[in-house]
Amino acid sequence: MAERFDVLESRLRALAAETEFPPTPDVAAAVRSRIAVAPVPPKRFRFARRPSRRALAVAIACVVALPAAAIAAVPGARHAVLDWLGLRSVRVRTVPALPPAPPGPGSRPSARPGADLGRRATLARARAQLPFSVRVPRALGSPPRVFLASSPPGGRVSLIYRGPPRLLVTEFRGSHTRTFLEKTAGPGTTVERVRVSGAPGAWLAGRPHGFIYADARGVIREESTRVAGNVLLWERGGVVFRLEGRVSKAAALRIARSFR
Amino acid sequence: MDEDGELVMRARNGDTAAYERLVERHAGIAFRTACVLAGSAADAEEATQDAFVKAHRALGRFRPGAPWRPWLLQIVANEARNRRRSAGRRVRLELRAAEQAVGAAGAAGLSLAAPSPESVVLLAERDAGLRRALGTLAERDREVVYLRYFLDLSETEMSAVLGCRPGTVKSRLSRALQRLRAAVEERDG
Repeated sequence: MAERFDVLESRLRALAAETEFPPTPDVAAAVRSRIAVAPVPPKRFRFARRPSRRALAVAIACVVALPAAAIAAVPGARHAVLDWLGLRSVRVRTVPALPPAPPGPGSRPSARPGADLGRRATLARARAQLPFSVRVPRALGSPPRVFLASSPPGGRVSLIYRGPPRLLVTEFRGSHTRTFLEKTAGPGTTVERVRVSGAPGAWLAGRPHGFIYADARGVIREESTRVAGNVLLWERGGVVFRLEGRVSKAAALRIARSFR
Repeated sequence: MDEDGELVMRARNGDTAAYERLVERHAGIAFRTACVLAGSAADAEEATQDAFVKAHRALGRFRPGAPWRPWLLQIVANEARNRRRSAGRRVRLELRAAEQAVGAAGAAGLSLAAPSPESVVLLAERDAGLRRALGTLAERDREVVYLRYFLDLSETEMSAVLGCRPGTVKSRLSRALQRLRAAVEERDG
């Protein structure tokens, strides 16, 4: 039997020698540009042994991967994933062209304005129903219109300020689920890493950006930009905040810093 | 200290060029490992890229003096598996087993050292049978065979990639070979 294994092993080695893997892509360039903006973090703590499987699994679960359907929705699979932004449940991709909106709730003209934002609610009700603490920007006062939606799991609240400038604020719980949010930035959109009172964030400005996310069941949802404008995304305490409107970066950051 | 160890130490201290060198040295094995686990070249490329970026971030937690490759491949494996799981796909890696290679050997039939066209054909059929038998194996069996014979990973590296103890690697491999042999025999009659 050992002999038979030797034969099998040598056949496997012969097969391996004749088998070509796809050519290794040039990952060095992409890695270089991504680590250039993300220096080695300070050595706050060190494992005595190599990181446990659990620690690794947790670390990796925090960066939620992208379902195939979403890849398929974005033409030209080669795009840079800008997860150097440090946001755990948000990924920003740059693509050569924005994808056409897939059929779905987001691309259909809404039966009523704000339908894709969920149902009308009050701030008090949103706070009572959502499992995370809803914050509002002090700089703008209490929101005139509040919407509650059940997706992604854990719920989502949207605050609309009529302005000017008209602003849309969305908050939902980002981590510990498979939910992710994908922001697709086409040509003409700049993506910049920012800090909102120490929390990691991203500033996207320029042309309109597509906005795709999948819920925990893997349903891909596309939201066209609802309020034309720039977007500030940031994540604090496992909650993703998104502020959108025709505002300057300085103004957006000022508003973001006032969230309490 | 070996070259990897030295590069890792330099990279930990912020030497980006040293890290780039590490990427260049290990991109090939990282990508092929990801191919085996993720099931598609596109996913493997993303997994490889992300793994190198994450490994860079985690350098502060790397134990100095430990071998770098198993540590890296563990991160690559997690990235690759996450992609496959998240997509809920079971795409089998179609290794472009070398119809071209066989074709080229056949075309080179004129040269002195080349095998006869008949033996090329026979070998190709035999290989095809083995490939088909590999294809009938369960994912976890196929993985272990690819990692050992196609990627030539060491036992330590395999245990990192498979997430099992080094002692388990051997028994897993031998069970996989048993099932492969059974599958081959079934085909060969």
